[in-house]
Amino acid sequence: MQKDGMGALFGPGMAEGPFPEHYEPLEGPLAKNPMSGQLINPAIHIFDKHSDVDKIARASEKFPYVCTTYSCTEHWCSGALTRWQAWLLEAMPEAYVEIGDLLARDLGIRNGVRVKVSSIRGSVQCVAMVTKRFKPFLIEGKTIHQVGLPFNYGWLFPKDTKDDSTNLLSPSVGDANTFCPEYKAFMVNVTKL
Amino acid sequence: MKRPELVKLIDTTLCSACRGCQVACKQWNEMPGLRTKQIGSYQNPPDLQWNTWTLIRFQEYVNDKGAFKWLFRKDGCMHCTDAACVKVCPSGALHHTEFGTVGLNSSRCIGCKECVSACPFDIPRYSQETDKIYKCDLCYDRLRNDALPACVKTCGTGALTIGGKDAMIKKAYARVKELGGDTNVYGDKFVGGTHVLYVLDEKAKVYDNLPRDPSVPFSIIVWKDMLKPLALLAAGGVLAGSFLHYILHGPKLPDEPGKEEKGGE
Ligand code: SF4
Ligand code: SF4
Ligand code: SF4
Repeated sequence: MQKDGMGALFGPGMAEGPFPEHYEPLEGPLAKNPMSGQLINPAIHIFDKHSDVDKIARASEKFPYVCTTYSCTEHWCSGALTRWQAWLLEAMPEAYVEIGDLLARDLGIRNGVRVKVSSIRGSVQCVAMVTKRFKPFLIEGKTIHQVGLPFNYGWLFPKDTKDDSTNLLSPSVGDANTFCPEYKAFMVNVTKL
Repeated sequence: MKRPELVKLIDTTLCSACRGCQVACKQWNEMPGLRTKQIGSYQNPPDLQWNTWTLIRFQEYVNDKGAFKWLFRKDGCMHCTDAACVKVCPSGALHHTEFGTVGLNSSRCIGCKECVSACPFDIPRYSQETDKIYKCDLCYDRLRNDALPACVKTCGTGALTIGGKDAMIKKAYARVKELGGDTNVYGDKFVGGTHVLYVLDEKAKVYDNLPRDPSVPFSIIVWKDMLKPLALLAAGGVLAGSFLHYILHGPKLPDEPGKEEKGGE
């Protein structure tokens, strides 16, 4: 909102805008943006690649699956507060990765077994949830599978937990104006344990 | 006080599977959360258990036209009018309440598990630790105090509602009429009508763990509805016989002492 009490679509201090434009995520399955010559958002801050967590594996065969992250209903953020609540932990006890049934069949992964999900930055182990809800995309003529993990798990509690934080997988990048993290799309591999 | 017969309506087409009801039930009834494992499903605990009286069942379903649906069904006691559990319960722990619901007086439960095998919906759960069975009592304590059941109170989508029997049956049919397709009302046509009704998104046969045509097991009808009255009749027969005997032969007195000794001489 402006000083005059009016709203505005664009104003000074904004790193990007005001018109929408399609860019690919920092890390994605494509090497070229099919819509324009600019692959990723030119206004985002990219950290210098000094550490392992800043590595990017774009259009890499080693990390062929799109990964997205989200929250389950029962837990809040990393779950560091809600996992101590016995009713919530009972309903959503452990980290899981949702895998489409077609991909699971290709990889020989059965529902309920523990698997390893890895990106170029790190890896986590969790339970495979094989589902019909994840369907492959057809992108530029190629079938590309997507998997999804909740970010509600990690350390501290329950004491005997084997779960790791999903943040070990995701890249450190955010949108140009607010740095809202781009944890909805990056690339991983999934392997049997 | 005269209380109205109540029916709880579960509209599966409105349920978002948030499981607020599952947790609210535990909170109100002071049931503990136990350690579980992720088994490759959002459904957890995997089944009803002594500390879980209501459970959202998650089911992935592809219909014959290839359309995919993720079905959610809140499972729990149906509060039958012809309640098999009440018929078999020898201690009176399971009973019909003034609301038409099926209550459970835990202190009278002797842990015989008759109800567990009798229930056509596979609802009562036994705990070895307490040697008692557990199930939803439709929040009898809350109903008595004019409060909504905990699950109904917590449901944010309007999937759970409760009200007078006739009004709720009407509401269920109106909803099915509005939705059309394969939606249907489940509960009013068997076991004398249940006090929990569903508006189902798909035909009943599609749902896991949901009997298509539930009934009180025939053996229970034979035992409790036919043989019990017969047995009473038989008992009555014995009484009547005794009475007749009294009329005809007079009171039966102990033999006079010494009589046998005399005869023995
Ligand atoms: S559903 Fe089962 S436990 Fe509930 S009232 Fe009917 S017979 Fe009894
Ligand atoms: S009516 Fe009460 S006891 Fe029954 S499922 Fe709902 S909250 Fe639990
Ligand atoms: S609270 Fe309502 S919407 Fe949530 S799971 Fe229960 S019935 Fe469904």
